[in-house]
Amino acid sequence: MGFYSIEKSQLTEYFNWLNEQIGKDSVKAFIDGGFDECDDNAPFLSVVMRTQGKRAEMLREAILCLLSQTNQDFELLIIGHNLDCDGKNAVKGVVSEFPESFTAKVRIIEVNGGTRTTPLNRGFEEANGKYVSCLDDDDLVFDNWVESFYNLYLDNQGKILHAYSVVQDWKLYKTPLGGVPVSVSAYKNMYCCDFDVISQISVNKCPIMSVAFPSYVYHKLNIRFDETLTTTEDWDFLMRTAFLCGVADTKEVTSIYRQWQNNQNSQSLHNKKEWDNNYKTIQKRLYDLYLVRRVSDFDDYVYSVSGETNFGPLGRIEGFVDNGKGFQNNTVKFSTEYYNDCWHVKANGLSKFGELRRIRLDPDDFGMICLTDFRVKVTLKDGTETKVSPNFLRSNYVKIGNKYIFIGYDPQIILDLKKPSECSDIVYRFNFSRNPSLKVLCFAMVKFVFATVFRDSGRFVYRMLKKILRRI
Amino acid sequence: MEETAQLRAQTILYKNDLQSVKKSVESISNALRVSVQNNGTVKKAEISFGDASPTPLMSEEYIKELNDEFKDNLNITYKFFGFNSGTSKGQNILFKECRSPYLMIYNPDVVVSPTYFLEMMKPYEDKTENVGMTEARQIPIEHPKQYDTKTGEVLWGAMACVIIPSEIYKELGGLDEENFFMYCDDVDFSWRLRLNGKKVLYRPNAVAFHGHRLSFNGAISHTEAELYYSAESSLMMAYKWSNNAWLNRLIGICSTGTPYQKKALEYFMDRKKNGTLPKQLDKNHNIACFVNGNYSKNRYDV
Repeated sequence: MGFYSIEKSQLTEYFNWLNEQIGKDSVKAFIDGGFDECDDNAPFLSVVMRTQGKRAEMLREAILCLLSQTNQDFELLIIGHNLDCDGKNAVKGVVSEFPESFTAKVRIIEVNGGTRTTPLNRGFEEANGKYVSCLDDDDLVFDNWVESFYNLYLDNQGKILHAYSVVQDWKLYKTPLGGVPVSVSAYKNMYCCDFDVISQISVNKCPIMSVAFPSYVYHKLNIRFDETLTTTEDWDFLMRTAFLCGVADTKEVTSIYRQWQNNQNSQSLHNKKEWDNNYKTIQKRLYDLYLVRRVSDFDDYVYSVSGETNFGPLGRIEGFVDNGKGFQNNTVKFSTEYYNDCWHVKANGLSKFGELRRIRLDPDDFGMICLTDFRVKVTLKDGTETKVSPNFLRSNYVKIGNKYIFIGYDPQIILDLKKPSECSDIVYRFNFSRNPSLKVLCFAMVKFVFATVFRDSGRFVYRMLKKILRRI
Repeated sequence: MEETAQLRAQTILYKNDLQSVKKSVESISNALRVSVQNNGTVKKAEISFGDASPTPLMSEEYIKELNDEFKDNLNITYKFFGFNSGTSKGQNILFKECRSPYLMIYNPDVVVSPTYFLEMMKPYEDKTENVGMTEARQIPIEHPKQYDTKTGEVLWGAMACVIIPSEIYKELGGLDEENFFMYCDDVDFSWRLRLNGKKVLYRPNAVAFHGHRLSFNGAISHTEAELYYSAESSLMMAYKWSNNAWLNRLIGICSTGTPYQKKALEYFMDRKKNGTLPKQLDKNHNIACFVNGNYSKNRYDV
C-alpha cells in the first residue's frame, strides 16, 4: 500500500506548532467545536485588579467606576501584591466602604513574591467569569466598560474583545488636602483604533483594560502571563492569545489610560535596558507564531507592497458631514464600486443631516496614497446636480498634474459648499494607488516645501508691510 | 424618619433611566453610612426629586419602595412639575420646601464615592472660612478648570454635584431662573457667591462618577440642547457680568454661526428689545472671568 507523506506540509507544521502551544486535547476541542460549558452561575466578566495598597484614594476611584457600570454582570478580584500591614488595612478599608450589594461580588486575594506579572496569573486562575479583563488600581473606566464588552461578546463568542481607549496625562500633587490626582492634558486618541495584528507585532496599541480575554485561554489552553517579563507582559499575553482566538473590536471609548507625569509608573520603575530586553524577547516570540487569517484581511498590506497600480483596493473609507455642529458625530456611510476604470465612492441619504456646510472624505487611514482624475458630483435635495471643481476642495494633498498626492497620515478631502445646502447624495470618482513612484514623491515633496516657504515668507512680508504702513 | 435631616439633596429629572437614578440614591445612602461610621456631620438626608419630564417617571409605589429600601438614612420625596422647568427653576421650586441646613444639588445620574460627605462637609467645620459652596471632583471626565491645589479655591463650581449652606442659597435668591434655563446657572450662582464674599471650594478627594462618554475619536460629544442652551447662556453671562467686549464678539460669532447660535442670538436680541435683560453686575470686573469662551482659566483645552 502506498503512503502519501504529509510530514512537511504546511498544515502539518501548523498543527505540530499548535499541539506544542496548547496540547493535543485542546486542538481536538477546537476541531470538535468547544470546551465543556462553564458554570451557569458564572458572571460574564471577572475583573482582575492589581494593587499594592499604596494608593487608597485611587483604588476607591477605580472601584467607584465599577460600581457605576450599567452592566453589573461581573466579579471583582482585587489581587493585593506584597501587601504590608498598612496596605492590607487600606485595601480592606476601602472595599468595606462600598455597599454590601456590591462588595458581595468582591474577593481580596493576597499574593506574595514573584514579579508584577504574578498577580495577573493568580487573578486569571481564580476567575470564574466567561471573560477576564484587568484593571489597575489607578485606571478609570466609563460606565459602558462592561456593557461594551458584553455587547461585543454576543456576536463574537470565543474571540478577544477590544474597545477603544484614550490616554490622558495626570499629576499627583501632595497638598494639605491629601494626595490629589489632577488631569493635566486633553485626551489623546492614539488608542482609538481597531486591533491590527500586523502593526501590533511592533507596537502595542491596546492598553490592558481595553481588552477582555476569554477565560478558556488560561483554564483550557494553559496560556500564562510570562512572569520573567518585568514590563509589557500584557502585550506579550495579548499577542500570544490573539494569534489563537482572534480579536473583535468596538469603536466605543470605554477607558482612560492615565499617564502619570510625576508619580511612580512602569516607565519610571524600569530602565531603558530592561524595556529593550523585554521588547526583544517578545519580538522573537512573535516571529515564531503562526498567523491564521483570510487574505482579504490584509488588503492594505498586500497592495502596499505590490507597487503603484491604478486599481488597487481602497483602504478604510470614512465620511463626515458638518451641518453646523462640526464633523464630530455625523458620520456618513460610503459604498465603493470599481467600474469604468475608476473607483466610485457614493453616499446617499444626506438630506437627513439637514443643511450641510462641509462634507469630508477620508480616503484612507494612512498617507502615501495617490488619487488621479479626481471628480466630485453633489446632488442637492431638489435634484439639481453640481459638479465640484477641485479648486473648491480643501485638503492636505499636493497636486502634481492630475495627481493628488497625500504624503502624511490621515488624508482628508473637505468639500466646502458655497452656501449651506440640503444635499441628497454625493459621488466621488478617482483612481487610487498606494506607494506613489519615487519621482512623483520627489516632485510632491519639493512642491510642498516651496508652497510652505512661499506661504510663510508671503505672510512675513505682509506683516512687515502692514507695520511700515501703520507707522507712515 | 421624623426629625429634620441635616441635608436635603435635590435633583431634576428629565426622561432619566430609573436604574441609574436608583444607583445614585443607593450611593448617597451608602455615603451617609460611611459618614456616620466616621463621625461625620451628615447622618441623614432627604432626597427631593423634581420631575420636569412630559409624563411622570415615578409612581407612588416606586417612591414607597425606595423609601422602604433606604429608610435607615433617607427620606425621599417626589414632585411632578407638569412642565419642563429647566434645572434652575426646578431647583428653586424644590428649595421652597427645604428645611435642612445644607443643600446638595446634583445630577440624577451621579454616583458619589463612599467618602463624599466626609470630604464635602469638612470645609464647613470652620465657620471663619466663609465657604459658600463645595464642589466634588467628577470622574471619569474631570473638568479642566484651574484651581488652587493647596486650598481648593476655584472661580466657579459645577452643580453636577455640590453642597451649599441653605441659608446662603436663600440669601442669594437661589438660581437665576429668569436668565438661565439649564446652563451657566451654576457659574452665575458661584460668581454671585463670590461677589458676596464667599468662597467656592473644589474638593478633589470628594469624588462623583458622572456618566458622560466620549465619541469614537476621543472627543466630548454634545447634545442639541447643550449646543443651544450653552450659546444662549454665553450671551446672557457676557451681558449680566458686564463684559461688553466679549458680548460684542459673541454677537458677531452667533450672527454667522450655527443654527443654534443664530437662534440663541435671536432670543437675546428680543430680550434686549423688550428691555427684559438682567441687571448688570460686577462692572469693575473683580469677579467674572472670561477666557476663550470659558469661565476660568483651564489647565488644557478640551
